[in-house]
Formats: sequence, structure tokens, C-alpha cells
Amino acid sequence: MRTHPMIIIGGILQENPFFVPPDEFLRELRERHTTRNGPSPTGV
Amino acid sequence: MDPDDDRVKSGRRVSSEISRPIRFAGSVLDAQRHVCAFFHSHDEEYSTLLPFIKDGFERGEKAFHIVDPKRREEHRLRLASAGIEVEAAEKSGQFELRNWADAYLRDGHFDQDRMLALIEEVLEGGRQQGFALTRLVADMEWALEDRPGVDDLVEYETRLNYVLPRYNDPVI
Repeated sequence: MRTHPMIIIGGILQENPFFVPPDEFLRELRERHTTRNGPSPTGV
Repeated sequence: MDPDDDRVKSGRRVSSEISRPIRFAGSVLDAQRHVCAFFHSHDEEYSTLLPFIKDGFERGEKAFHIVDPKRREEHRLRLASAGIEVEAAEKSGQFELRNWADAYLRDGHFDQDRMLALIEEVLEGGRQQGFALTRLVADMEWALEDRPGVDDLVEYETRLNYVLPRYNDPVI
């Protein structure tokens, strides 16, 4: 639901107050992924 | 007369009307046209969507719908019940109806990159056919099932917000 700028609930179209812009949302997803799996291995 | 002539003329006519407001669900669609809709029942769904869908047909816009294959015939009947000439619209290219397996779940799984490409292809295709707008309406109930790739759906939906601002087409 946070990925849609507009929402219909109860048959009424309205701006979605929970909308998160894609840059911010993708950052959040990456952080969630890192927290769950730990940092990706880097280097040799 | 070439049937394509009608479509092109119709497209031109509609082009001049593109600035007309699009009414939808008790409001007017603004620049943001990526819409999420929740319904308690199919009756509620169609009572909200049908006026919007019918308006698009009457304005000569393209309709691209993605449905649960189990509900395909019911969907066509619901459109017909609103006075939409479904078969004629399909023949003319104004209406395209796809099952989940021909859109979100091609080859049995969800691939977000492939789906983003399909959305762009559909919206661009509508323009190339001469339609001023495409109203894309997709049933997403498959996402409630345990389908391969479904975990990528949220990322896909947010990435769609990079694509859709380049178009005027409503995506529901």
C-alpha cells in the first residue's frame, strides 16, 4: 500500500498518506535485506 | 473504408480532449495516476471500476485489463452489462484482456523486470496505436497466493513509480 501515491478505500479515491517515494522505499528495502541477511561479503 | 481510419480519427479527436479531467471513484485523477484499490467484494469492485472503465471506452481510449483466468468470462460480462461492446472493442484493438499467466505470471512466476518492461510496452503501444490514453486495470489477487517471485512484488510496485510519471495513463 505504501508504494501507491493514490488509493481507493470505501469506493473513494484519495491521496495515500502512507505513500513512500521510490528512492526512500528502495533504501528501506535494502536496509531490511541487510539487517535480515547481514552485510554482503566484500573484498577477496 | 479502412477501419484503421476510424481509429486514427477517433484518436485524434480524443487527443484534443486529453486535458479533460478523468473522474474516478468520487474524485478527479490528478498527475499521480498509480492507484491501489481495495474492495470487499466483486460487486463493490465493479461498482467503482465500471464507470471509470466505461468513460475510457466512450472517450476512445485504450483499455488494457489483466484478470484472474477463472474470472475472465465474468469480467467480460460485467463490461457488457455496462453497455461496453466488448467483442467489437477487442477486434478494433481498443480493448485487450490478458490472464495473469500472460502478464504477471508468465512462465509460472513473477519477474519484476519483465513486468516493468511489459507495462512500458503496453503504454507505449497504446500511443503507437493512436490512443490518447490507456487505462490499465489489473487484478492483483494472485499476490495473495504463494506464487514464485511474489516476494519481489513490493519492489516492483515502488519501481513502477519511476516509470509511470513519464506517462499520463492511469494504472489501477
